[in-house]
Amino acid sequence: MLTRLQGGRVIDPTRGLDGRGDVYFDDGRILATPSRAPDVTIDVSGCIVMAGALDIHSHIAGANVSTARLLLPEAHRAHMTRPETTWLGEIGFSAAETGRLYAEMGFTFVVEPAISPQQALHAHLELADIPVIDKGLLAVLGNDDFTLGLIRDGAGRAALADVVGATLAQSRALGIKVINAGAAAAFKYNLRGFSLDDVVPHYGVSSRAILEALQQAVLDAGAHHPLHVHANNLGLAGNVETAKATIAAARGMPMHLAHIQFYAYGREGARGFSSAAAELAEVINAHPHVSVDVGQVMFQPTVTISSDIMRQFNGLGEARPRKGIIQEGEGNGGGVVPLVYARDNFFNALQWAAGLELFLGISNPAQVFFTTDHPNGAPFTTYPTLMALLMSADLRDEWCAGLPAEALALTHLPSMRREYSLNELAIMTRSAPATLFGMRDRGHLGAGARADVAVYADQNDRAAMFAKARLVIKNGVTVVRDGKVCADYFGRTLALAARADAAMLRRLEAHSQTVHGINCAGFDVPTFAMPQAHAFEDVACRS
Amino acid sequence: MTAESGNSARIDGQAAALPEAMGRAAELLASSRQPLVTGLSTDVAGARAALALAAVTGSVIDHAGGEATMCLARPLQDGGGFVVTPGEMRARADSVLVIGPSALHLMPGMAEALAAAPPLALVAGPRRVLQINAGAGPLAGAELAEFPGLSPLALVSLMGARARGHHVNVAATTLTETDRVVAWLAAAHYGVIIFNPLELGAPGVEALFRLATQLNRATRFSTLPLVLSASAETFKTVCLWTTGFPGRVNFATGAPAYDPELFDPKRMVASGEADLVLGIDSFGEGLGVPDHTMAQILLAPSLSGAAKPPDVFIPIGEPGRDHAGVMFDPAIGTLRAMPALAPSPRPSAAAMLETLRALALRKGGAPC
Amino acid sequence: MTLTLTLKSPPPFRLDMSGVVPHLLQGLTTQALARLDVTTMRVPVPLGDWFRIAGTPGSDMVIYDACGELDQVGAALQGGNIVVAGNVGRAAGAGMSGGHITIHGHAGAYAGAMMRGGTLDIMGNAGDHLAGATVGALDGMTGGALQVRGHAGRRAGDRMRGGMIVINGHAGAQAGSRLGGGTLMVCGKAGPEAGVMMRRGTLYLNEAGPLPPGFVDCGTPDLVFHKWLAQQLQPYGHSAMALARAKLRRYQGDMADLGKGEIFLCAP
Repeated sequence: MLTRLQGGRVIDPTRGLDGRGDVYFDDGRILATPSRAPDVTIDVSGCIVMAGALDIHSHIAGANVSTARLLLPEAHRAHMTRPETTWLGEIGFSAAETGRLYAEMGFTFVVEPAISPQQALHAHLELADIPVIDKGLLAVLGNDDFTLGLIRDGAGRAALADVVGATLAQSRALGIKVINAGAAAAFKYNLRGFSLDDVVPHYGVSSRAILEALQQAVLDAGAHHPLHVHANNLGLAGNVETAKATIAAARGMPMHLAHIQFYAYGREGARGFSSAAAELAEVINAHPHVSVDVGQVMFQPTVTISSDIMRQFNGLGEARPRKGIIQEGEGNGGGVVPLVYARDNFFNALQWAAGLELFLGISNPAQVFFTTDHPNGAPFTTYPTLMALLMSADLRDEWCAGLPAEALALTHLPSMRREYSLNELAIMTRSAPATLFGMRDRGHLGAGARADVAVYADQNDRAAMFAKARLVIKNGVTVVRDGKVCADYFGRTLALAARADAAMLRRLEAHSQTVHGINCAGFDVPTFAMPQAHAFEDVACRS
Repeated sequence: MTAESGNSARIDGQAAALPEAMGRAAELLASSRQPLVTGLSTDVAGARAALALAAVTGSVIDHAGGEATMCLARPLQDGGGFVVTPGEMRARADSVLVIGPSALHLMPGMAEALAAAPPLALVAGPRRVLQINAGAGPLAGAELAEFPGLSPLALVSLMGARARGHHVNVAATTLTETDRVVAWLAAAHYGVIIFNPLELGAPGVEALFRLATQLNRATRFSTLPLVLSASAETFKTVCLWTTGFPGRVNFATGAPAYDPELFDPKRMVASGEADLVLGIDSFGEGLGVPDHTMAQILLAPSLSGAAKPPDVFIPIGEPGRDHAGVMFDPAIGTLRAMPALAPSPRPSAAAMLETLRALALRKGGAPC
Repeated sequence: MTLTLTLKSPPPFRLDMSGVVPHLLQGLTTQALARLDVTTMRVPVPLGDWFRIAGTPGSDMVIYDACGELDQVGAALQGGNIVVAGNVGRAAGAGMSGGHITIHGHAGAYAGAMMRGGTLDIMGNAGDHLAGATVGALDGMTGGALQVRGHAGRRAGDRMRGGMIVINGHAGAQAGSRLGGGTLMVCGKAGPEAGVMMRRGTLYLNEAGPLPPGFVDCGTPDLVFHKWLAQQLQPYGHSAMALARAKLRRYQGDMADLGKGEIFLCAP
């Protein structure tokens, strides 16, 4: 059925479009202006029309997310028969709510960024139950014995590429993430801190060596998305040096640094904790091969879910409420620690400002991605408010007025007057993430693109506008109308069609048997295990 | 498929065509004031379908083995803790403390695994194993320690107090034995404590997590809880991503409500608050509820073993045998896919539950 | 103004009374009151189906012929008075921050759970987890005063952090478990393992089963404070005053945790 979205303001940075126009789609694909009359015309005048948004880093599924649910029954929905409003009530903390809430904001694709290969099946089953949106996941390597052993033994570039290929294939992942490279392994040997040039006991391999080896291996294995790096020393004063050293360690090759806000800290001021975001933004501006996402902090209680198990262990003392779960596994494992980000807290106010400084200080919107590192900085439901903050210096001033002056004095935020345009937001949330993942048919509205479209009623209150899309089309199906999901629709999980080298699979199997006493075929994600026959969509490797 | 006795659908004990039995089950669900979905020894697909059915029928739902789930969940919810996968325990743990007689006997292959040296230990050498209160189940080659007359909670908190270097009020012999165990724990590089949550009870498990927290100040420690029922763990996993809660959920008023005591299936039946039991039992683990006179629908591979003939019996296959499925595998500590070993046309629990859901929707069984 | 609810007959299912507290009822007509949904099941249960309703909503409320199926009576009460003739179910007065609740009967589990203020007076017995914390909550009772004239079940005062509890009768096992503050008094006998995992706070026990191993005998101090306390306890009856005046042996614990709690136990 040929459908026309008529008369909206179409913002499509991929084609350099920002103006009134029509969008046509049929059979799940966007069409150029067709020769025949449309079967259906939907009037979207007064609305903003964009491609569906993409979120490249949001912890929405898998064992660690479930552990967070388990830890906090009092925090989300209906822990008693007549519940009070709870602090995670809005996100519900179920697969169904996740898909619904993302879709209602106009998102059509979300990446779960931290799945241990051993737990890929669990994660995929959970992703398959997230409705409406398309999904993908990143598999985690770099703290597992096999990879560390290969690097220690100087196994070489080809072997590492094979490990990455086999992991991508077995986990049905879109890319590879490394989380505090070597630290989870070092923590098992009772190290409590770990920096870029620290060495993992038993292996004699530095964090830097792991990073470099995996960065190259991911490129060699043909993944579109470069190595997704969660660097060392997250959250610590003075860790901007770690971030800068990690960017330098990229050696001019592509690398993605996750939730960079948590690494934008200096040591100035009376408390020895200051924002170094401006300095970090300059470094990022000077390294165009590096991309980042922000991990913005917003003020509310939340829960941190991270496979940086050393950091999570060290953070247990800051837990609010005072509880946390540390779950160790074959590679990274995961830690779950609830936190409260409070407006009147010096550190939290500084973190909030540092995140915005990064958004505003990084000049190319295609290099910086929109995340709160859900739920670590804040639940993804805060995105609309964050978008409004980026678009209005006045709004930021209003927020700043309620924050500790001592914290703001250690940032540049009050003097930054840049305001994001809708086009820049579209770059950050549509065209750039699609490019980062090598998806030619997403993030834009050109002919041949997937018919994933978000339509927002243009209004001054940008937060309200982005919170509830007027209309969302997913693969040509109307899934959201007037801010509410209106269709029983399930998207797919995108998986890279990576090559698993047979010899490497045999080595992995032998290793798993010898070291862990486990048949590693147990970690497979066969299609028959999925609730939908077409749960997966293959993505071709980079040629 | 060969026609076995007890393998056709039944209504009130009499063989019946499947559509009739399903129709009768849907009627019972529609007329129930408060249905209870339990048993739930089934795979991921069965658990998903049961939760979806519970949601549209406003049922209370929990696994028959929910008690053990709660003995581990409650301490995690109340204070958090440390856990490790079995594979990593085998690889790393130079020291393993086993509490009680049952833990290793119920964990296939674990005793053999413990006898092997940990390949990734910081210091190469054999694995040290210490078993406390081995009772009738001592492990070959393990050091033993006995604490007669102490409750599990008292025992674990005694170790906790001594690990903190605090004074305690116990007999001299008990103190000596405790200090020996605590010194043994302190000498671990990466230690793991294996325990049975049901044996320790929720307070004992909470004390154990506090002990692990204390031990982690100086060295590394984690714990490995025994999984008593793979299907209970499967249900917990699915229930968490479906509702946000680990079980004991009530859908009566629309959104899932969680109460680990109120929505205990045993209590729901004993109090008469439930008036219909829908049992799913693919693996013969039982329904775990006391004898009752209320209406019952049973989905199981066969009728044998059902204490009271159900009002409706619907035969289903066994995941991993008659049809493929996904189950929690205690050996790997996560979900594992299982192909069908002996494929048969017997329907899966999921297929039957999804059909029931469709029928229930048609009968207006939805509470909202 | 007093609102009177009279239960017509004991319901065969539980009713959720958390929506029937004075501050939520202001200005409601009798018809509107009758329509209030108190269901815990999939079908709505209007209040009026089970209660005769008389009077007008104000600060005071009386429930007659109550029974153990009425859950969360007076939950989250902010002020005013609730008097109950009969038994109540779970979580009576849970989360209340002010006002007074008097129950002339028995209360189920979690009575006064997480209460922050006000007074809760239970003339009969109380169930498990009196003044305790519901699943996942780190604090039980943090303020107010709670009295049980009869006996209490297991884990009375679990995770209590402030306020005062007096149980004139016996308490089940693990009274004062995980206590972080406040005072719990058992004028009868406390079951085994009283004070287990206690961090701070004070227990007064007339008699007790075996204490956890982490409680260390600190002798029998003669505290002037106890004489003062005894006077303050007059409203809680003779048994409470007598306990405060008795010769008390002091134990410190639970050494398995912070170990800064104290148990005063009547010296034999």
